[in-house]
Amino acid sequence: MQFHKDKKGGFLGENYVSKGGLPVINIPGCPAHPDWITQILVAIATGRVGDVLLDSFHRPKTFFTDFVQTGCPNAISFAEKVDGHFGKRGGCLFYEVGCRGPMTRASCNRILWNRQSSKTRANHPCLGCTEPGFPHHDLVKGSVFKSLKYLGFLPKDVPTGNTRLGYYTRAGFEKVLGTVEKIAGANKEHFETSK
Amino acid sequence: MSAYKELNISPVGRVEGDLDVKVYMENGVVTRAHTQAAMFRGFEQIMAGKDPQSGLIVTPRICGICGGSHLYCASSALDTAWKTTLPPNALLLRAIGQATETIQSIPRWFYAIFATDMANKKFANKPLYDEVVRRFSAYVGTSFQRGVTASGRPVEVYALFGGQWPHSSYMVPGGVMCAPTLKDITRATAIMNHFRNDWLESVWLGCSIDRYMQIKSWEDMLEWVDENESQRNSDLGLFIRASLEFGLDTFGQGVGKFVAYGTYLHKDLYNHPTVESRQSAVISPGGFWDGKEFINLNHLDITEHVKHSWYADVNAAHPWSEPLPTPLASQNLNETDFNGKYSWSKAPRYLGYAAEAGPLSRVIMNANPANLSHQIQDPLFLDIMDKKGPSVFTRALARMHEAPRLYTFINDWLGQVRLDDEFYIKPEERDGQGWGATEAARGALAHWIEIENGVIKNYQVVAPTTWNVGPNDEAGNSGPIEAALEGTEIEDPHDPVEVGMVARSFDSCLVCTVHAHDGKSGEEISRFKL
Repeated sequence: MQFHKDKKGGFLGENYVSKGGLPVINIPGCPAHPDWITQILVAIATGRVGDVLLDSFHRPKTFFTDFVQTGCPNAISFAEKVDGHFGKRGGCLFYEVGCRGPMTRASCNRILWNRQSSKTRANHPCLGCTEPGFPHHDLVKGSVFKSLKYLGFLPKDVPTGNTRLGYYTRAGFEKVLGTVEKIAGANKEHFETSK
Repeated sequence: MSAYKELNISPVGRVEGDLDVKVYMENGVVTRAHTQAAMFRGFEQIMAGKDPQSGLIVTPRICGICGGSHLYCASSALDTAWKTTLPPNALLLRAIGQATETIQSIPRWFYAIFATDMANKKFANKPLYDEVVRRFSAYVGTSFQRGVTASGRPVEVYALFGGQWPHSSYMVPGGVMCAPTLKDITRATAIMNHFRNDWLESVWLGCSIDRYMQIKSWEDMLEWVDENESQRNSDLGLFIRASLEFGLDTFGQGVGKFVAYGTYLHKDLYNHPTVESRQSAVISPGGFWDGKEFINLNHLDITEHVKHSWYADVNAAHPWSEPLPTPLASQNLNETDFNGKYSWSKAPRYLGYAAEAGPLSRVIMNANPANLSHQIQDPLFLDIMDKKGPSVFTRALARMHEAPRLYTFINDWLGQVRLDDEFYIKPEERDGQGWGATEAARGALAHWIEIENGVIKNYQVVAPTTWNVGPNDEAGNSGPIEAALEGTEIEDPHDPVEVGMVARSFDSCLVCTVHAHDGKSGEEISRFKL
């Protein structure tokens, strides 16, 4: 209502505030988690609206500050640059199958879905449905369940808060160091998982 | 004196969606009915020119409650186009996803959508009315909360394998994304056990699943009701007794022809998916039943008509042959000319006939004597159709009859997952045509895809609600809900609960039609306009 994709404006206009003095609160997600909706309504109804801080897209910060990666069981594989894939236990889905966990702000891995799990806990890449622009890359050929590549081997989308150059340098260093450690006999089994 | 009245009822769906119904009645009887799907959505257009796997992300979002069913179709359509190999574990986990989504819908539909109408004042003079109100009233009925709460459990199992419900994309060409562990299987089994203990056997059946599954005829069903107090007073026992007392078995007949695609591809019979081998690989059989004979399902016998739909005219065609729909200007209900175009839904036909899709179609196919040894063989509903015929009651009973069997299936399939074996075999992408189908909770659902130059050239979705709420066809024949409404007696035109009950017996969730749109707020739910 107050945004078009990531641009402020939209149907109600950039400076809209309601009679109660509030701007539009955007609860994103496809679908939005029921807790995201009901908890914000409860906060408003119980006089806690002052505790509902909004980010630049008017998303409640309490749910949309952390990244989907926060609480992902494969976070250590991400750090160690270990690839995951469909039908496989362990490994990070960022490198090959397009997981958007490091660039998507949502609490999926903190509060869980259906009281049980989350996409990345079930080896399902995050689709980034709480970020403007979903479905990302407009579903162009080669963008669905594949990580788009830069120069043919570097991930085109890098984790939020990184420059491309910075990320490629750090990740490359990590990957080389990991390989050297492995050759030197370091035990890397801690990122594997069992049936 | 003949009292001629025109009723516009909007909306009919309780959950979401826009199904408008226009009925013409004379002397309290519906003489003509038109269903109008009032919103255009354009999901098929969204996918043209996109990545071939777009359907895995886009189509589950057609419906908030049938997303897993759309995913089952989208992945199958790609499997047949790409000629993938599917490991048994993948077929099991897809079937579990489909079955958990369908079984969650059963108590949710019964308590939140259907049974609240049985507490309508229309039935206030019936002896069982007080008990029905006590149990089935919206929100406050003693069974309402238990049933709705129970419906949230099976999708927890879906979430264990798909990450979340709704809107997972875990079924992919070549298998599934997940590689579950012992912990997931054990927890899933325990959750389903809770569902059985907390609702299915205790509240709904009043007996064990095994006892219920012995029912093979309408007489068996009536004997089962009277066998003991527990069964008589279970929600199913009460539902049967009240339905017969309230006359729910006397209206809402429909077109008398039924279509089902069947579903639950057998783990060892569909490892090399092809369009041609699908029908002999399903556990829940498909087919077409014209009231007398069973005809084997051939998807090439399906056509879609647009003469009365707000799309540019094209001849009735099979989904592979029809162009992406070109939307035209629509009118609101009051300004619509029902001799012309009047709905966003197309009119699908099987061998040229309007056919009802849904659980009643499925349980009729279960009674086909030609079913294969791995397929369901259950004569019950052919007997009920023979002795009672189709009606609001028969349709509702069919839907509820599936719960015990689905519970058993899910439990068995969980036991068959082999944790050491593969869950996914990476396929090779290629151009071509594909077809994926399933039975969503509310009936036959299918996706047709054509891939050219590595992108989607054509994508066609025919949803069960398209079958049921579709308008007239080229020959002027009514769609199933339109036909089911004709002849219905309406006691109080200010509260035409009968029309709602007929439409809801089809579980017409308009958000499930590809060409419709959700979007009414909860406040408008019971506002019947005159």
